[in-house]
Amino acid sequence: MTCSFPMRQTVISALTLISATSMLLSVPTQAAEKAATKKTGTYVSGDFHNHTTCSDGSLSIQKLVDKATSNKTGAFNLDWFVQTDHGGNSPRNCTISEDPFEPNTPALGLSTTSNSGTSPATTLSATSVNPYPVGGQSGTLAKGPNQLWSATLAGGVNDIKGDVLTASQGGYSGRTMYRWQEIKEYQYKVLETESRNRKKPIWIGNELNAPGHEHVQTTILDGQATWPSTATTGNATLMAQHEYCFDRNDADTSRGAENQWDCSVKDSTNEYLDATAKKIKFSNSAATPNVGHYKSVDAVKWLKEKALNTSFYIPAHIERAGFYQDTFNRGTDIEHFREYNNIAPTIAYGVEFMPGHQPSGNRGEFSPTWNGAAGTLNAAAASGGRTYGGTGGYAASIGGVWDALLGEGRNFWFFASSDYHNRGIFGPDQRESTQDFLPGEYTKMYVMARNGADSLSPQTIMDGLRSGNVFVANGSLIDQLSFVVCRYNPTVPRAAFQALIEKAALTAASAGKEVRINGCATMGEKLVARADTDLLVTAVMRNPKANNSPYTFPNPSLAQINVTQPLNAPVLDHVDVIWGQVTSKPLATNAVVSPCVKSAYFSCGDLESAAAKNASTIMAKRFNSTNWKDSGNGFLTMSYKVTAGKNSQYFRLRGTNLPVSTPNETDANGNPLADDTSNANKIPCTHASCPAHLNNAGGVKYSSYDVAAWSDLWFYSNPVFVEVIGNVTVAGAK
Amino acid sequence: MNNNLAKRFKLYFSIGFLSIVAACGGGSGNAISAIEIFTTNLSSAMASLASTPSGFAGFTNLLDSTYKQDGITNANLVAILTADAAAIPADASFPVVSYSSPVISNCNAANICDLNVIAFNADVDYIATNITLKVLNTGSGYKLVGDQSAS
Repeated sequence: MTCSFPMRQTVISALTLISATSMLLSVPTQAAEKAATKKTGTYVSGDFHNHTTCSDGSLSIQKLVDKATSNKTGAFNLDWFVQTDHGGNSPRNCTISEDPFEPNTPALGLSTTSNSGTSPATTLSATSVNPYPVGGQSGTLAKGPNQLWSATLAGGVNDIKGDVLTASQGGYSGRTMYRWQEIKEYQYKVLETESRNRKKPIWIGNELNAPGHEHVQTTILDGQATWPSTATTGNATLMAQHEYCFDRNDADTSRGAENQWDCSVKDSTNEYLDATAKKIKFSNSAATPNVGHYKSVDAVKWLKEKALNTSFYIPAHIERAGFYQDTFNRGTDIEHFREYNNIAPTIAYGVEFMPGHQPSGNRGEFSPTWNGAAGTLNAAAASGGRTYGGTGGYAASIGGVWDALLGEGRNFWFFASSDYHNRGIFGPDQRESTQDFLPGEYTKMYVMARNGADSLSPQTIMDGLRSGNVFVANGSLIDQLSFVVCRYNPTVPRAAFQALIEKAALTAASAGKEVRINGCATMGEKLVARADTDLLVTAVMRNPKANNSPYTFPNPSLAQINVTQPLNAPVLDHVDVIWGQVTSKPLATNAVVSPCVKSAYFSCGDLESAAAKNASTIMAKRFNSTNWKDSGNGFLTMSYKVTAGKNSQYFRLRGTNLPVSTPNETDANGNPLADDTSNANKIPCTHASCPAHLNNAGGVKYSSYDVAAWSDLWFYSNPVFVEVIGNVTVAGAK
Repeated sequence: MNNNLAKRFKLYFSIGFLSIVAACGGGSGNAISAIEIFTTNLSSAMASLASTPSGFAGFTNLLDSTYKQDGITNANLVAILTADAAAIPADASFPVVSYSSPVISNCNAANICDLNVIAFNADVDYIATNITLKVLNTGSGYKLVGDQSAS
């Protein structure tokens, strides 16, 4: 082959190579390394809030973990799992697994007696309808995880440490073990074994009974074995100590027996510390107003002191217990989120905006009379009264509490859980439920775990949760998502640029991965842009063909508008892009929300306060079958151009299977309505296969419990921030 | 050399190699060679824009005065690049896009042609798609004219 090199061409080629080499050497490190230094990662599904008989759950640890993480029939194959029981104490030994004769998943239709009341109540219990033990376990003390610690430990009660206390739980009464001992000496060991055997990150946490408030998911990785290491046996000593020190239901004063823990906090006055117990023994009360909250603040400071990047503090079902009251243990308001986040942004970086208990008669267990009849001492009206499409009002309302926090440029993320305790009148191997869904069955949280070539580990999951690169879906409405905001490359035709980014997003979503392109930001990240820059918002998601619902009959909510769609094969109807402005620097710690303004739905609390809103927030764009691209394999691609304007801002997504103006489900703007199936029996379930346990009035069944939950599905993404140069700084992902 | 730098090196090496191939007769004549040179220079200029926003002169030299694409005129684009150069920190660049495999076609009486190229992203994710650019054959080379679209 001959090859002539005209002088001009040769010079050009040489110059190009020289130029290329020089550019290579001058590539700005920040820009070039951002995408490059991200380890490759995958979205992995998991759950961090479920219970065993070591608190008020119904399963052993082994069975709960098996249901969550194995891939056999009736289990849900989650990639990671954090087991959290309530703090306090329990008489039952959850480390003894169920009996081998525990039945396999039965077919539907076991319920033969129609419910004649407005709730399933007791007429559908054990002997007449449900052949499986209520609570899913052998009904005697002699079997399974309902056995008492005192009856199953080698030394009997002598092996139970701390102050002597007898209590009843789940109908089983006996000498209780404080949760710190359960965690440290019994539960952790089982979970470590489960993690090794199942080759998945499985570790322990605690659902803290937060002093002054309700519940908070906590975990501390320090000490726990780092799977897949098999050489070292770990421990959960720090987790156990946190429970002893800060759980308001842990009344033990022994300092953890031989542990002799001291709960003083470096960055605290420690003024309420009890001299004997070395912890604060009080919570909010008339005699000690706000002391509980101070103790919760110390709980966060303690984590910051001892586990800065290896712990989390994530309040659960935050609206359920109502607004905060200084003399009771109630809900958590926006000023507390700000306070925790200000103290420890790497630990207190989000909440469960979507609660568990989705099939409960009061969805999420949110009701205007939670924990007792109105007017009684313990009664509290859930903030917002109800859930809205399964999500609490703080995040379900556009411009609400969540948007207020995002509008301050905070890294503050949307999480969810199953909060499994039991299936109500059904056993754990049955598929119907009047109370909870098993982890992975209905609610899934997908977390970007950037583990590169390494095995998935608890720390990569923790880092993923903290990054905010997380999305949540109920009922498998979507199971893959790639969501980016990119600066347009002004030198490339927009259509071509959009095609490139959409292809990148589709490629990423198809592999369960994220887009890694400089000049694009994904969930939890911030894109830095000049004012008035053109931005491309692109999302690709998969709407799978089927979910885990046992019901194949048509969705009764959609039947109201003459849409026939099986409950186990939901179709995404539309996706909303929610946009909000980042308007101000974060408010000071303890900026108190007041006054409380009542409305038809909102009995009180955060929702009506201007300090708990982001008035700039809008539903900026809606995508549906008319303007998204359907790849035909479940993947949907949607993009739109927006100009950055002058202000820092954020974009987030939500989507649902329900069209706008679906009666009793969505309003004319597509916003979710209150999930209230209790008072009006609103949505009839008329198909012959509608199950017997549904609410029934006048011989008509109404959508309720699990059917109501499977009917009304939503997903939420976390936000992508855009920081406009010269405007408000956004915290960005750390 | 990290992964991204390696990919960028591959990109720039490819651009240089493309010119050599064109010089070796990789095209079918002088016209093809010219468009390959143009494409190479265009990609180099675009890469330079993304990495050093202040270095936009190399790119604007490849714009025809009548350039208009998506409502952005020559003046608009120069203004955008000027503003970027003044304001954009190093970590706020836009996605880098480069072009390869140029094919010229459909030249009209005004010497405006379709330039079909593979547009590709050269960051960690390598994504490629075929696009068409409008170029003007000036007789001494090519310039971008855009599709004259309003938005």
